[in-house]
Amino acid sequence: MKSNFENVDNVVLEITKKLSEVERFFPREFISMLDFVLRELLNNAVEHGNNMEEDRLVKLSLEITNEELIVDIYDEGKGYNPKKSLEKTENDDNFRVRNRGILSIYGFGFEIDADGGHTRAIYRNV
Amino acid sequence: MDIVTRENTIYCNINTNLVASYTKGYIEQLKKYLENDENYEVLQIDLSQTESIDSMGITFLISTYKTMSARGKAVKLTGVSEAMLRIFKMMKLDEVFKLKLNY
Repeated sequence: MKSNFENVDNVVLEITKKLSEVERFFPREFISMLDFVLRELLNNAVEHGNNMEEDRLVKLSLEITNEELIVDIYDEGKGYNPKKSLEKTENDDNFRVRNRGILSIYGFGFEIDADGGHTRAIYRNV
Repeated sequence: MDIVTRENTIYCNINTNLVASYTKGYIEQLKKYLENDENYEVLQIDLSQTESIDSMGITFLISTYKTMSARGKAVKLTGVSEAMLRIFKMMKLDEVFKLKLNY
């Protein structure tokens, strides 16, 4: 998808709508968590990975098995260290205005790794 | 976002998801409205039509709260869904806002 927030919204709505159609496998709580996590990862790719340059592309891959959920996001940026975001936010208070996206994803129980323009978030015990 | 003042309360009705594609516009809209209205004690934000929120939406709520607090005004959130409350609790923000839940 091209890099803008409207596309993020559309993609996430499409994914969560499809998962909602099989609610017996994906309870609402799981879908709302995934909604938030996907938005954070995609927003990150659009804003920080691709610097809001619309013609730069973001790709998303989502794999769900019995044991885990794997989200792979590819952008055209140089990459970042998600653990650095975690260190920065641990020292801040709850009223900080920025830097809460990655911390929230960790808070939901995801592991995050990034390498160049590829970010992978894994959730186990689906 | 619909904004109206009744008695001493400004009511903001967010009629979309509170996510990145909308929040910049809401920030500007609210800022402009508040420039013309000082006669209120409470800013009430209704989220009953909001299903999804992201960190930019949360940033909007927090920065609004900080701005209002600095002016000595209160902020209330109403219509908060179960899903959104889970996110607020994870961020320890549930104790801050005066919440009225959707369920």
